Amino acid sequence: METVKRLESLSVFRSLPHAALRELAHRCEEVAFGAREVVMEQGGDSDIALLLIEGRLEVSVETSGIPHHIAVIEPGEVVGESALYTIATPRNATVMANKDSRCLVLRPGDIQGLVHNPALAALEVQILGSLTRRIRRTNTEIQTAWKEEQAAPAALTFDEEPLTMRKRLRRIFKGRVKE
Amino acid sequence: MNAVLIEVARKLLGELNVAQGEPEHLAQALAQGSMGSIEGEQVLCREGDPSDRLFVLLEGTVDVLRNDRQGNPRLITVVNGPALIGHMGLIDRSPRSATCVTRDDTVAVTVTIDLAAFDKLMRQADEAGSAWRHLLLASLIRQLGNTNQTVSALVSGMDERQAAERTAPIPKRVRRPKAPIGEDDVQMLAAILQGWSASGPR
Repeated sequence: METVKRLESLSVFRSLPHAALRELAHRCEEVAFGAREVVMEQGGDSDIALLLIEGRLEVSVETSGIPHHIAVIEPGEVVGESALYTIATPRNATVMANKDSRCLVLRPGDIQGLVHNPALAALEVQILGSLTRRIRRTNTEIQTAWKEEQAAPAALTFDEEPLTMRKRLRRIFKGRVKE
Repeated sequence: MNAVLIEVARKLLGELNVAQGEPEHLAQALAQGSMGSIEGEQVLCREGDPSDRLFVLLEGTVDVLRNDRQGNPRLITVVNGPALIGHMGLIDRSPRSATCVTRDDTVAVTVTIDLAAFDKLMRQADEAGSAWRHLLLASLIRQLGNTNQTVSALVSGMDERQAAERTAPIPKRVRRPKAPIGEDDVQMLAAILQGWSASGPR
């Protein structure tokens, strides 16, 4: 019942039938994480997703040992959705609880079993909106990064040929990317 | 159920590594759009216009263009079927961020799904609605993964450069300064990385 009440408080599930939320809560396990606890690890197995129902999560991507903050997850949002909707790939980000948090565990079998549940349909629409916002926001970050690069002292090259945009893109994606 | 649509659905599910969804169910969703073929060059959508439909490109090739600051169209990327075009605009109701034009040397076969049909499918709590949403989800998950990796690579490059500048001696050779990055280049890069193709990582 507590879980159903928490689900009812989320905007994604407002005006949905109580029975739909009850089925969701009954089917899916609720888990708790303490502050700074790692919820998902980059490179780890991708077998579940989590619906955050209380608290806050942080998403970061590590490159060359340096974590880069990517996103903050608020209640009503899902992390690890790739485990549900794409064929298994390793986690591409690390997720950590920013503070004490509670999540609903979503497994691929749950998605199949809840196909007629309007709460799942509403959640999937919400995930689509969230993914779209994150893609657009990340693209803005890329533009910001480029502008900062432009503002930094001009890098020099030994190459006497003009540095065309194509060469610059090649250098960015092949010369700087660590495998 | 149209056997062609079922086969197209099977290809789409395979192309995007969709974990859940049967071709028959996705074909039911696609059947809510209108199928057609386009010979020659035709504008599917124009930059800045309201997003009122999406296109499932079954076959053919589409050029994606964006206007530079002078208003001249520049080719951003090329999309080959099977692929989704214009879906993000319907999800977040934003205007078209690029112009999409079918190539004049190919025949493009598309399923066009208008806003009303899109909204209906998004709410449908059944197998067809579920398969449709899963297709969109897999497409966006791939785009986000590619974009996040690019952000990390770019920032990593900057971190390394900044670290190198702190520790490396100033070279004695006179070097040629690189050309500054223009705003148009930045916009083009962002558009490329926004991911217009549903087929394969960049």
